[in-house]
Amino acid sequence: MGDQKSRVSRSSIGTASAGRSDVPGVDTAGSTGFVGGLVKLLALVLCGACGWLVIATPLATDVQLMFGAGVYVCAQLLNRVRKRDRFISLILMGVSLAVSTRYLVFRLGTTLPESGTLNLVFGGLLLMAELYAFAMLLFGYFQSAWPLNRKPVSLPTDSSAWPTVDVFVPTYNESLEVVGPTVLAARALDWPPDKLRVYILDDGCRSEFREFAEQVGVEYFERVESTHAKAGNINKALARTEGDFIAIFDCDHLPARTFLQATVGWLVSDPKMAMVQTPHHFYSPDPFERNLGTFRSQPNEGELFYGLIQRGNDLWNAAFFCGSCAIIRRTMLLEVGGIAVETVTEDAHTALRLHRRGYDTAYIDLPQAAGLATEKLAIHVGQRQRWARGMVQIFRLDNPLLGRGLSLGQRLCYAAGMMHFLHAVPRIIFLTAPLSYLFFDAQIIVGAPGLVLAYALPHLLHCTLTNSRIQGRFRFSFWSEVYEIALAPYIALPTTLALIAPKIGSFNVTAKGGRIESGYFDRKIALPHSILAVLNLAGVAVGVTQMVTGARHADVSAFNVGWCVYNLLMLGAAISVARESKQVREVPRVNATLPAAVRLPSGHQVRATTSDLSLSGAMVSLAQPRAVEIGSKLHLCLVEPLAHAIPATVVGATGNSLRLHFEALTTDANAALVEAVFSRGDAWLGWTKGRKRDRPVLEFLKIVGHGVRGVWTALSAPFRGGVAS
Amino acid sequence: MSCNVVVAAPQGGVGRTTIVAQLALRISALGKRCLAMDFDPQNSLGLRLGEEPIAWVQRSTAAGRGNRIPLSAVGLVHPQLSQSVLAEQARVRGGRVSHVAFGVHSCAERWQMEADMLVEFGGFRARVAELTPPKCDVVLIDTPAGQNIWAEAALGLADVVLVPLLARASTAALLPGYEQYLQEVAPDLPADRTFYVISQWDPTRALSHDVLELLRSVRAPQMVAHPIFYDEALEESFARGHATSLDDAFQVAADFDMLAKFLVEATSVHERRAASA
Repeated sequence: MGDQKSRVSRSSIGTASAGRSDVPGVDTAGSTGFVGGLVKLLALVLCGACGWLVIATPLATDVQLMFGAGVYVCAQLLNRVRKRDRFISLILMGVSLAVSTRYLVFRLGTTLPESGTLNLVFGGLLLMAELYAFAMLLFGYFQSAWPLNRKPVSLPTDSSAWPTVDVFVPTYNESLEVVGPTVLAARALDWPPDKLRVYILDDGCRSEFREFAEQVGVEYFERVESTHAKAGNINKALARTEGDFIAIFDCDHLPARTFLQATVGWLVSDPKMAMVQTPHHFYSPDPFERNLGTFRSQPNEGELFYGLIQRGNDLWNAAFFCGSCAIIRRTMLLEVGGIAVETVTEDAHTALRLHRRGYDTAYIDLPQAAGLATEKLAIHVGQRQRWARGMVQIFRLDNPLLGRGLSLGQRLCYAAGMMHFLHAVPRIIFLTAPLSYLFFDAQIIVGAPGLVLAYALPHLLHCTLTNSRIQGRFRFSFWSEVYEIALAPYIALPTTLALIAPKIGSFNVTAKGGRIESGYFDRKIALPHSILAVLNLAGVAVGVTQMVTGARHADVSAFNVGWCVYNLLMLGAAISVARESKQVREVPRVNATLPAAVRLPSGHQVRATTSDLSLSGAMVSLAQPRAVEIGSKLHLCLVEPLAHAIPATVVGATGNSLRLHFEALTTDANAALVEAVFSRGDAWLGWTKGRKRDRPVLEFLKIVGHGVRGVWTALSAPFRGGVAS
Repeated sequence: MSCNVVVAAPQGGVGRTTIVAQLALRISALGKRCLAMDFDPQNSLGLRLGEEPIAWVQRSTAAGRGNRIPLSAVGLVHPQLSQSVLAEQARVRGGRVSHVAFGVHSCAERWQMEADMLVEFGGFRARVAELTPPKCDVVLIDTPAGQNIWAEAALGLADVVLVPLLARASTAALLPGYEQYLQEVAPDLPADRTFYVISQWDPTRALSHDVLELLRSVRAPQMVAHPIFYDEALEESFARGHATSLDDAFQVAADFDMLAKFLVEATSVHERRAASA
């Protein structure tokens, strides 16, 4: 593992200097001798003994509470010292793990039910869920312990030495409106024209795509048999092309013109490098962001993975291929048999095979492409279902913990990535566990609620504190629960099935480019959550009745009622996501301040600046007030770089500002727009600017707000005229 | 030492005079001392610089009574033009840029000068030098379109040549012949001192983009990246008598500004070269 680290840090400076170990003084093995080794061993044993003492010593409720509070206060103080200090993060992770282990030892040692079928069944399930959560906590800390900040490596100055690149844009049933701009953006990639070829890989065999390809000067491949979906499509094209490297973009991911400049350097300078991945950036809100109003103001679901986990993986040379916005070396891809076809997450599986062969991958955390997020929760859920099923399939068919060729770090990173998608069943257990006591009087945790809380609270608080510190920029506190609960009912079955029978099921394509005409509550998608919410609400009612009538131990009932209330709020927040709000604009707009000239019907060319721009319209402000009538036709000319004039109709005019609408654009004008909006290398860099830091208490309150609203929506839905999807 | 920038074009109607006038205004606004010289017998540079029209009525009598032509009509063709006359003209005209007109003349006067030039070019060169103020950074010279003796005279003095072109299919055909001409007329001018700029650019025409692309691909380092847009505002402000106060809100004003900056950079390269030589 030491070898791993030195290799990564060496290459991360960008100067792959072989023979670093020849430098005197670097190789220290054997210089400390026997005495030094003995001292180390003693120190280790001593630390272990102290650690065990801290973790395992049982304490009474009040003492444990004081101990827990003391440790937590220390951790809080330490957290405030230096916000970005990675060593403090490591210490906090250690403390958090110790506290959680202490809870686990307590749970395993004293609170497990020993008799009664119900007790054993429900207690066993809860224990399983908790052990899973603990394992994922370990994995999470491991993956985010030391994220790499890999920078692009520059290319040789002589561009005649640059490799040839094939750009693949696979498509199946997406409209030309979605695919066209991606192809135009790919065509505009900054690369010697004789070394760049763009291919539309059409699994739908559509003649309009063929015509479009001809018109804009890119290659077109069609495939009649659509076996193995996207993977099969790419593999077939692989056999018909010959570029040194293959850049793959999903048909709705528009690359910036700098994509190749940012990525190819690593492939050229490191002969073992097989793949370079960049983040998937979305310029439109996903259902969580749109329906909960969090777009851009807080990290979205994907940011944890692309902002932190991929960088953490990269430290261990375990950055995954994510299917799009990546570039792969042809020879190595062919060596592993092309894109993997055995599972529905062909991307991660392909990366795993490359790693097993001993090849390297890299992750560069610079958004170099942007795409459309899924529009509706139902579609979003479908996509995640596929990911979850696929990752579990790989876990079964090609388990990263077993087999040859991987380092320990790589095994752990892959296992973490795959096991993450097993969260659904444990999540549902947590959402129903208190009901087993309230409804059936099952004793799933044996012990006084006060004592259990005295152990459990520090465990939960430390997890929250530590995760907020290490993940806060990429995911706000408590939001993981909302994301996972929203998906849990839908991926529980597919993942369980995939675990049992990994080879069944087919590939589903994620629909993109739709539009929600008017707001509605998607009752169907929220049904499982609504049922769980009603059950928890019933649990609260039963528990409160028990407390009032004194039928059972008031403190145990209160503990479980509290748990139900927490569940209710989280479920409510997930339900809120199903309140699909209206999508206002036909095409997502991006903020872009670009110099332009507006050519008026009179023949005057007035200087202007765009303030937002989309493929269907723009807002521009003129350098000089002009009387422009609504409905009049004019041209918008982007001047840096100089582009074809875009014919536009004025749809609004206030002061110096004009709102323009584009329609029936020529290919040239369309290309001009695509390049202006999407091709700038820095287009997405300032995306998170001005975003506030994670504040756990505030986030909790926000989720409570969404939760209350969601529960209300779910309860009142049967009495209102809603629309089911 | 001043840098002579000659604006010459293979065809007429590309907007040479307007370009010279706008550049003269903008280069002096950038803090450079600038002189505009009109080598075109039309005498239209003054108009584009916002001056009153020269009294053409004098033309028929100019040959006979050379000494009595009005001060404003005295120009390059007249032996009496001197630094002091120029200063007096500048005082009367009140323009923002010093300007040497071609001068209202008879054909006989012009032929005489052309004949002298053909016999001994050094004399003409000395005369231009004499008319250039001692502390002048840039001399902008306007020329008649196409291949003619006045364009040749100007090119013989050029340190930098700017060739405005129209984004038309014919331009690409004209260019090779014109380049040969430039080489023949100004053999000592280094190749990288000739620049091409697209004038009267119409972004709504697909062909204009294609021609620009073509010219960029064959004349890459010498093509000024940004063209000068066609703008109705230019002709309008001229018609209203505001030739020198084109509103900055128009794209064409920005285009001229960019071109002025580009040329100042080009002339400073010339100065550095001259200094090192």
